[in-house]
Amino acid sequence: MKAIQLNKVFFLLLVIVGFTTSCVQDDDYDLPDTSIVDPQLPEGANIVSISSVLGVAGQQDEGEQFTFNETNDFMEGYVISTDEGGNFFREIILQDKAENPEAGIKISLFVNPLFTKYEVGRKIYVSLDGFTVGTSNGVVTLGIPDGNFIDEAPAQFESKIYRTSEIKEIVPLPLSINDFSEEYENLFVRLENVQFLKADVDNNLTFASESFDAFDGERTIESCESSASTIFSTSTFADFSNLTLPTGSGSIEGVLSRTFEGDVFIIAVNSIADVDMEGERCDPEVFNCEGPSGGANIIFEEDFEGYSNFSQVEAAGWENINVVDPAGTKWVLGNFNNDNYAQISGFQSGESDIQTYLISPTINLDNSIEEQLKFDLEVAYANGVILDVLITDNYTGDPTTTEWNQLDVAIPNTPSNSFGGFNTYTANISCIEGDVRVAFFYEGTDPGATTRYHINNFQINGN
Amino acid sequence: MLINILKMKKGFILFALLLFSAVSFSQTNVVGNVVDATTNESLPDVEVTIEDSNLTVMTSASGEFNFGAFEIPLGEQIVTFTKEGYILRRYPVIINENQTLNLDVISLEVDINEENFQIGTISLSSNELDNEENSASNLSGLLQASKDTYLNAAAFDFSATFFRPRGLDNEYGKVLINGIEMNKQFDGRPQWSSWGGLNDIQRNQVFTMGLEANEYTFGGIGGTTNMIMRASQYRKGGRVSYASSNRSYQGRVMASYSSGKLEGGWAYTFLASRRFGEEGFKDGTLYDANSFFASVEKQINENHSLNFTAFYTPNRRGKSTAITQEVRDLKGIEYNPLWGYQDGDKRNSRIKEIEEPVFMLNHFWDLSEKTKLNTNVAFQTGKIGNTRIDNGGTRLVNGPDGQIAYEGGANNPTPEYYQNLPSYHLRFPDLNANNYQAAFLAQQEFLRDGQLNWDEIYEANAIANRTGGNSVYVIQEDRQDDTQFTANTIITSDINNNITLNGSLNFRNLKSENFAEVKDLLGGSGYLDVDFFAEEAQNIEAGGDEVNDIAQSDANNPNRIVKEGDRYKYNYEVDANIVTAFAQAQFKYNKVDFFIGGNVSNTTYQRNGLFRNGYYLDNSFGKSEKLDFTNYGVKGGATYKLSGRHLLNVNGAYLTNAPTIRNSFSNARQNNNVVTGLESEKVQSVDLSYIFRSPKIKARLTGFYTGFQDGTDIGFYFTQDLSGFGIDEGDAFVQEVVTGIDRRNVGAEFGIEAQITPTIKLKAAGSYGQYVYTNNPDIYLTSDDFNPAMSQINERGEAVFGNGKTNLKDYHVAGGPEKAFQLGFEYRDPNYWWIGVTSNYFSNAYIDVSAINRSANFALDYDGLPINDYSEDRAQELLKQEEFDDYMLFNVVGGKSWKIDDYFVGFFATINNVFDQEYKTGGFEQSRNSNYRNLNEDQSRENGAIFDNRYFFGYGTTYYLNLYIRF
Repeated sequence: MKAIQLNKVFFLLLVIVGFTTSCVQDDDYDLPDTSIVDPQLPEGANIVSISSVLGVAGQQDEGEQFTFNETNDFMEGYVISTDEGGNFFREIILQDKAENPEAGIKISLFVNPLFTKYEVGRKIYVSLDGFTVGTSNGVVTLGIPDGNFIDEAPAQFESKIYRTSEIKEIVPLPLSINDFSEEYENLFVRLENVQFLKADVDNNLTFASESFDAFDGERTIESCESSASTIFSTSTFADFSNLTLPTGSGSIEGVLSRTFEGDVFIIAVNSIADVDMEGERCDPEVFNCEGPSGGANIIFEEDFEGYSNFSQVEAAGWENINVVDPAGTKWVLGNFNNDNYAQISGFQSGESDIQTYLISPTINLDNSIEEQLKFDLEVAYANGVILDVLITDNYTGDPTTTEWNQLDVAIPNTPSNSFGGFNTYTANISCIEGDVRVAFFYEGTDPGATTRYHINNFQINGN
Repeated sequence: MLINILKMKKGFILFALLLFSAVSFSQTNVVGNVVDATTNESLPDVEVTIEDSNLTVMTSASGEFNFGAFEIPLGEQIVTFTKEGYILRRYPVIINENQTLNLDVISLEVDINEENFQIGTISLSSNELDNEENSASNLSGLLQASKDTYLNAAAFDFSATFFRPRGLDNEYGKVLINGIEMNKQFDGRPQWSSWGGLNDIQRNQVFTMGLEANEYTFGGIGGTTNMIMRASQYRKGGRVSYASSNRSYQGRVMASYSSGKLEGGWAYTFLASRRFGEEGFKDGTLYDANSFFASVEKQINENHSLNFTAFYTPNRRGKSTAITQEVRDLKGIEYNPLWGYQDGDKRNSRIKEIEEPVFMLNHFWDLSEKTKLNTNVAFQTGKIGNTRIDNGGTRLVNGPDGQIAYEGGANNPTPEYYQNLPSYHLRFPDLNANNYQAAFLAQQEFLRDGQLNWDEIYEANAIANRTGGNSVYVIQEDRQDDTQFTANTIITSDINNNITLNGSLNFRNLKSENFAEVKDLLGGSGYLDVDFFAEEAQNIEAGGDEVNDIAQSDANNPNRIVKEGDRYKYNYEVDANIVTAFAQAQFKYNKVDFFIGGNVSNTTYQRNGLFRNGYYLDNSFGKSEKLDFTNYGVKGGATYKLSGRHLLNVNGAYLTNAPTIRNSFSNARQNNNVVTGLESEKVQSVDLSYIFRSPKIKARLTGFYTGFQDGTDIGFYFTQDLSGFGIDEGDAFVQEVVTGIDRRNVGAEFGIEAQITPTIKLKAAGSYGQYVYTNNPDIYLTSDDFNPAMSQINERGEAVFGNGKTNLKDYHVAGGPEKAFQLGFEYRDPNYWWIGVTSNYFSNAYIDVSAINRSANFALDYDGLPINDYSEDRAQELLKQEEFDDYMLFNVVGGKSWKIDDYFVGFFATINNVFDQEYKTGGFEQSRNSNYRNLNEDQSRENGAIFDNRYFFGYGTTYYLNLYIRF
């Protein structure tokens, strides 16, 4: 009897074991196939180039947009941006070819993250049907219309994007800052031999973690080969926003675009790895005197009071020369709170090359020692340090042929959107004798580097 | 002896006493021995009552009973024998003065209806217990509480709603197995999954309500359940059953066999079961649980018995989560955002896995007739794991001049992410066509799919892999690996017939390892173990720490790439030692029973950090201060028997509870900080009951009061409106520490049942309570975003707002309906089938309120100054506690059983919530908007708030069916 019952038990336990092996599927999944199969574009799909889409945008009147409707056009292009580093946000930048590109465009899409699907070099098709193209924030963009802007297309527009299996290495297009123009916008470019401003580097500025960085940290980079400069733009959400600027010079690979306001070129990188600035800086040699400097003996001073226009200042011995265009941007007499000063700004001048000197009257330093240059300077709406303080003891009468020595004056690149107030700057000029002239050389480009400067209380003192 | 042979039919057949009454001593007494009519085995714990007196005794382990302690009434009396699962027997006797009436052997018939009912109750209640969202329920101890009408209703019908008897969380109830406390030291709660699926062998339970006398332990104010899992205590026989349900699991098979007492003093019991399901009522909630149980006992001699019990119940569950009303309206109450299709199957991203086998050795020693000593040791080791998707995978990129950046990280991939919902696109006061288009498309997408996209997750990792990066997404498993050793000894001594002394000594040692583990790289090659939020600037500016340092999970091993199975993010252990002594004296007299008891305990905790966290370089690695708590409790109670039918019972207690581990360290994952102002919770409890019992009517009415002081609660959340941090700088992931919480639970509960005819029973039960905060507790926040260098952060790294209080006074403590009522009837046919119907009404359930929103922070702006457009009236509206709608649930239950030769065969079925009533079982306010301006803005949106309250919804109509064979 007992044996029978035990047999039953074992039989039942066997049944249980049988059930136990009936598996609940919650583990040991096959890995999904993550390889990408080339898409089957719909019947009648018409592949178009980015250039042709840019052409459509170009045919519109200023500020007008074009909405694609009932079209079978599929735009093809290669992804050149990534939001992996957080420097691009809800946008994909495309260019037409992996190498030697000729046209680029931005797709604005309410999807984050995108790097998880659209890696750099991936060729994609974009069904244009339902998209609107127009210029927004200064560059040609695909999205949906929002007044004069192109807004982010809803996330579901992502279904209009078809990924191909083709991935190419994107070869950056070598470009110099001087050659920046609309046709290179939204292309992956390489800037050689550039560096961040000495003033910013000396101040240990970060890419975009300063208290004054609102959405993007905009830092000026300058060419070692020309006087050209442009803006290196970093999102405050970028993963490298809190790194300090590289101290050296070298190359940058990134997307040529525009600032949010659309008026100025910027370069934006995908990753901090695309900034390679391990080379030596290429700052001009500055003229540096040793020993004591400064004293109670005022050798020369100018507070710009008593003049009613700048011609009167020039009449007092100052020279005010734009060496590119004599009718272009020059120094003017500014006034605030009944205080006169010399003022210059290239903003909205429309001049792509401004080179203007403000040169002091001749000052003789033979009868003094331990001389010092001292002046007050206000920086406003800074978008680049474009003022040099120069001195010469051998003025030829033509600033372009004169051999100038650059003085070591650290002019800040701030503030970017307000007036900074006057600060006093000094330079040791005790090691120079004879008849000297001091020059303030303004070198700007509009749009681009158009920082406004005010100079006051110019003085040379000594003992 | 004659009676022994007579088989009794169901019903109440009365026998006249014809048998001899034997041997006279100087005392009047009634003695006897109760056995199972089928197996002839002795039946312990049978309640033997002389009707119409107030005298009740229980049979001993060998089935004997004895009324020698009492002055018993003389003449014609009726003795009743009751035991769960057996047909009640009423037995007329004549008691003569100064004679001992020996009833010899009384046999009880198994009530196969009751058997059926019991199986149903146990299975059902445990089904509810298993429910992840209902884990706060305190119904655990009521598995077999069907004796009490109210508790039966609470276990059986109220359990689906978060209802908590007397408003007590289950950390206030104690669960013992063979006299060993099983509540977790981490949160004080019993981990039911650790002995889930063992229903057949959980039938021997002793439930003690509230702080009534208990012979094992001081107990908890929520009651004490002792499950006796000893081989010798199981009825001989086997059982096989199959259950089908659509609640948590879809199927369950179970088989068990008990040997009964064998020759040579051996007894053994085995059980194996499996519960399984691809999904329960909530979509994608898989269930995969196996349970194994073995117990062997050897009666060494008359006085010694040694028992070994072991059980292993590995359990994997797919979780669901609370959703907003907006999501519910789009997707329904079954919706669960945590799963997505992979490989054609539903894969849940949040899996809870428990594997904590228990081994225990129990020694029973009868020191004398009167004194018994029970000594136990238990060892439990294993793991609890909870998985989730970690979306913070980055790669290390070398920047200029030796600097490092961590590039990558993705958004939370949950389909119900707020930016994926229509309300987000319609958040503006002035809407344009684009907003409507985006909202419409978002809605369509969410309706069409609305689930996790595993393919995209794998694709992201594949792309990262191809481009030399690490996994962007991984499955993180938060682990709690506990190893616990417990030893105790329990003594019970009957000093004389009226006085029983109980005492116990307990020691518990716990080593709890807590860490995150990479469970699945999701196709990637590794994960960079840094905190991807570390780059957020405010920290660095204020503290001057290098981001590369603070980002480290373990600065001792910076920038580690971790693989599957590696610990990462956090890693620490907690050592706990608890020593407890308990003593109790019980007095039983004719008119009154009373008891007093007390306990004293010492609890120590120490954290030991195994990682040096980058945010807390000096305060995370190595040992914390050692916490030491001494606690005590006293309790007492009395039952006054007005007559055999009317009883009054009163119990009272004062005790202090050491804080749980969870509430002792404010941010144990990252540092050694101890909660500031940490205190033991003080509890005062008193209840008063009137009990009526007659052959036809049983009733109980109880009033209860419990006061709590100095409670502690820690919460974790992301908030974006902390005052005094500056514009747009008030966002942080915080630990919210609330201390000095005072509460009051007061109310009344009742149960009444009337046996209208032998087959029809009517019953009513209910609870009417109010569970509120009675003070304004202290609140502070900590966060790795805080730095003592910030002016608004104190030297301990805490943010305190205004007077440091949160104005919770008079708010209701969330946790199920405060009012619950039941009307029901049962029909039990003599042909072994029965059916029961209950209607249940619930009201006064409240949302869990946000404490930070009741602190001074609510009225302060980003600069720490008062919000200038603050409106007192509007603030009142915003902070009013949401009360959920009341609702009715109808349940039907029934079964039938047959006896075929030696087999009992039966089925049991129930349909819950017959009318598919939708109801909320709970919910909470999100603390993301934590000041007036932003909460007002969000709550005023025409198309619904973005960060609205989240709710748990109860099940719709569900069924449960159980088939069994017993032999």
